Amino acid sequence: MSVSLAMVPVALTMRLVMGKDNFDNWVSSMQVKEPTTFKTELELARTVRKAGYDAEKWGGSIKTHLEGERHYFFWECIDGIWTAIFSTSESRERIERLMADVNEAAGRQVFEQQEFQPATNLSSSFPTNFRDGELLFKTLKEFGINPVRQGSGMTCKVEQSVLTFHQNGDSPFQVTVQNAPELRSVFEYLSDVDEEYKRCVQEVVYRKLKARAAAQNMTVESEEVMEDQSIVLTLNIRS
Amino acid sequence: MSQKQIRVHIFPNGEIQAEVIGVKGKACMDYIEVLEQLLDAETVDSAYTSEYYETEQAHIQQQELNLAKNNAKR
Repeated sequence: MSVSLAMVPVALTMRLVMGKDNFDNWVSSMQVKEPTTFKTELELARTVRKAGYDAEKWGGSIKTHLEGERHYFFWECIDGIWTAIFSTSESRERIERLMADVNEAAGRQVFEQQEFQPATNLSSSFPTNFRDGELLFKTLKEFGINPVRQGSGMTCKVEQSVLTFHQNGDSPFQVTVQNAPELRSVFEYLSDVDEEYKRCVQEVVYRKLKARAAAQNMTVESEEVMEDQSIVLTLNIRS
Repeated sequence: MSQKQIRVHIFPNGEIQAEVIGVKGKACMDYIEVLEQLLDAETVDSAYTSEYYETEQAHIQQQELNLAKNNAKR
């Protein structure tokens, strides 16, 4: 072999670790949004880098580290407005330092708010790993609930709660949770959806690969389903 | 000549590991784009394997040999 790759299907992002043991992490991923006046992605990336931070494309968004590897946030274009999306668990100091640095690098007020206001911006909106609306719709239907399309998003009822999935461009979906007396049960439900969605992604990737390999002058040498339900396909490349 | 192959490992959590086998040196890099298109996926990490370095080293040695031969002819 000569090169080894780790890849993530475009239908998916690996932002969140769901599962029963990660409820606290999920709650802390609750988001605070700070809109900016950046006009373009290029202007955003240049200014953020000038301010001394990174700005790398990441699963349909732009990722910026606040400090070290563990503290980061995402920029997303929401309804045409470039918006910084912070986790509510992130330190207010770090966020305010970033906002000041970016304003200084831009030479103007980039953030609409003068200062970070987590209390007023707080909403029960969470990130998800889903990027493919059709696949998400199908997964929700297979769960026995009837999602209703709303533009590029969809809404569904789970027990007493209303879940609204919304997406901007090819960014990952966010989910807004309304009327959730028991946030933990919503989380457990979303964990199951996450697991099933990923299984659907595996199936879609497998089918696409087999269908497209022939068109690329490749033949299937072998295929095997492993104990962990992963699939290994070996393709011959014809010279 | 060894068989050129692509080995794709698709996990239930959607992640993919892919290996290009038997393609010498930098030519294996051409297959990154091919794999991304085949799988509708984005590469998040890549690493050369020992074969890349062996074949690349052989390529460099061959280039040096050719250069030496050309210089000798002059």
